[in-house]
Amino acid sequence: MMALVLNEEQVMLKESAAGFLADKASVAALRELRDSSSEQGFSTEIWREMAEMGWAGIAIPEAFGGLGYGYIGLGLVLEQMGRNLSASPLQSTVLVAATLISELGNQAQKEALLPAIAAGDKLVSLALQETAHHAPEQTTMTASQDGDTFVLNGDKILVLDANVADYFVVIARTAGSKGDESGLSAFLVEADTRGVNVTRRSMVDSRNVGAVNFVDVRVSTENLLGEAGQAWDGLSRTMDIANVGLAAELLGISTEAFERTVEYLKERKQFGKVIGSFQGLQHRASELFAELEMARSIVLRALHAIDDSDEQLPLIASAAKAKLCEVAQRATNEGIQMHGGIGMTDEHEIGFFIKRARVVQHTFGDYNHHLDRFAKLSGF
Amino acid sequence: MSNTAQDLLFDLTLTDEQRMSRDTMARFSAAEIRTESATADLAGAAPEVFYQQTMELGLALMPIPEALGGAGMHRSPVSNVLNAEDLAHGDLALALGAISPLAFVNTVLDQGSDAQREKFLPQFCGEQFCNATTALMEPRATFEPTELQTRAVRNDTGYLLSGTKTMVPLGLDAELVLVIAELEDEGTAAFIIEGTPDGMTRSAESHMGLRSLQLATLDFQNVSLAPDSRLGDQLFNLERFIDLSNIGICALAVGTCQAVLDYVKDYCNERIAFGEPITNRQSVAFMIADIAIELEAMRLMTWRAASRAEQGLDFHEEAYNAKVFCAEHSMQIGTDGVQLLGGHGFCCEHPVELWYRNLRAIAILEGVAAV
Repeated sequence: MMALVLNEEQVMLKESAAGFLADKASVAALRELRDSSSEQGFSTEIWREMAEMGWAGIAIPEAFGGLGYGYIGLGLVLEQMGRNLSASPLQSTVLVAATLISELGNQAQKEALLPAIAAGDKLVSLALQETAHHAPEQTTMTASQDGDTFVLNGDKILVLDANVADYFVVIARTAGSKGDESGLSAFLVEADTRGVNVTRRSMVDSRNVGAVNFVDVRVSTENLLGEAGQAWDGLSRTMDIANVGLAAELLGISTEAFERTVEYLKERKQFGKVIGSFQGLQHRASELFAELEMARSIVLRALHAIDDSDEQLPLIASAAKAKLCEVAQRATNEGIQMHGGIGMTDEHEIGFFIKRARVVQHTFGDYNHHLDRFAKLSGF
Repeated sequence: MSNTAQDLLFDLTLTDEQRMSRDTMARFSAAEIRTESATADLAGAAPEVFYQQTMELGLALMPIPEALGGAGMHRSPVSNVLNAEDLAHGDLALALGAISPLAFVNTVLDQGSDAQREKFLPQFCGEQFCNATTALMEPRATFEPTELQTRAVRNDTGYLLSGTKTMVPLGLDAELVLVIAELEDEGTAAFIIEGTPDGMTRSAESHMGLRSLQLATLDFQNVSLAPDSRLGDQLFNLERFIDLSNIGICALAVGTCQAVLDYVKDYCNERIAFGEPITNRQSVAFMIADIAIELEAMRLMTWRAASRAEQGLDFHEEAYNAKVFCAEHSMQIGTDGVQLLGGHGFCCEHPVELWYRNLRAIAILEGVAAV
């Protein structure tokens, strides 16, 4: 059995991330980005500092310029980002795109991109989703071979950091039809390629997401990641890793919302007493605390499963995401409810947590999607 | 159903008679039912004199026309609901037993022929308790009353009835049983079974609750029935029968839940823990408050359905809504009643465990207690 605790090095990483983010990329910083209608959506300067600390390469192997520290490390940073609602391209570029390139790319492709990602120089994002629901096998976007090029046509939505990405990893169909797992291919497409149109979308969490349209976009056959029509396995593992990473972020969001709420219960007075002295609220807070403890365990278990190449990862990843969707829903709802009227105001920060949580919950499959997947994988 | 009254908001004002009758019922319930409840449950039978004693309440007598020996009162689902509620405040199983003959009487009044009324109803107007009941449910998963497997076929001498009915109140002893069955190629029909004809067997059932009610399985193997044993000459109005049953079942649930509320209020105000009554704790006070709120909603939904039935308005939807709501909440109230007593809730010294077991039946019962 693995020990579900952090070692000394991991604790240090967690604490340094917590200190840095609380100082530089806090909820107040997100509010500033939102209120200034930032087109960039995050601070380039702070992203550079994060990269200098090695976060952008934390899960990238040392051979490709990363730290080779694995996903447990990345998960710890993502959790702290959840606590501070820090806006950065860590999710789009490092958690998702770098993982997919590592999974599917050949040596040359990895050498070309992973060091640049690890250095914080290039932003890459996965263009996968086409409809309101996360269902990769339902992909209809096409890529047809024409000599030594592929011609891509189709529309993608909910592409993270679409407006700032240097490259997209685009999932398109080179064979088969909608619903087939086989026949999907991954292409590396530079964002400024002719025929690529990006539209930024406004989200409740004020973070970067966009729609990307591909009209007769031509890319070289060298831009194909892995074998044609064989992207499914790598994509599927990337989605598992991405969902575990998002679960780690949700853990941070939930824990912070909970801790802030408990602080509030100890301050706010009603009927001549602090409201935390009322049993009705005490029990609700206690139940939530117990839920958070379980959530913490399953996230750590799932992060271990990635680094240990546990063959159960698909099952554990879906379990972790579903559990964290449930807990985050409850923790953020209770956060607003227990703050009462002030919780409804934009002036108070607690509302920011519910907004980010909802977006993360629905990214790469929501609660129901992962329950369903867990059931299917378990054979019931 | 024709709308004989204007479809206005319903009126909850009880008549003077209903108020007086409630006092009588409440007294009887406290003196003769609550006191016998635990013993009867343990014995798995009502006290020997119990049903005879209920004769003084005139439950079945009321709606029977004077010409047939009855009191000739206006047929009143609302009054029947109030009675069921008050009796079930004493004990759900005994209350259901006491009103089972009324379900038979009401259905014969509603859907029987004149000859059947003249033949059967006077039996309820004498000195002796007439043991009668209704049998609708069948023993299988996902039982659906519109798809009955108990079948009647016509033959030269009348009908042949075959099939199995379950959870029939008073089923072991009832002298008159109204059996709802599928009449081959025609539709739903009801048959009055007198005594125990050849081919009919009765067997006792054992359930977690309603133990004193002597619920029974009635099995019919080609039971030969005379032509006049079929209720009325039309197809049986199953929907009306089930709707009226649902209202009766809801009323029983309301009465028992009221007993739970009364009991836990007193208990929790008196029970001291950590130096103060446990009602000073929000987790206790809120749970009791929830019971009170849900109970009131259960009662009002039940009364509304009964009131519309009494006025001749359509009440199908209202009866169904009430049943769904009462089924869900009476189970919750039963559970919470046990919970609020802590360890005492698990002891048979307190009645909440018995009420919990009985309330579990509300969601299951169908086709009994038609008001």
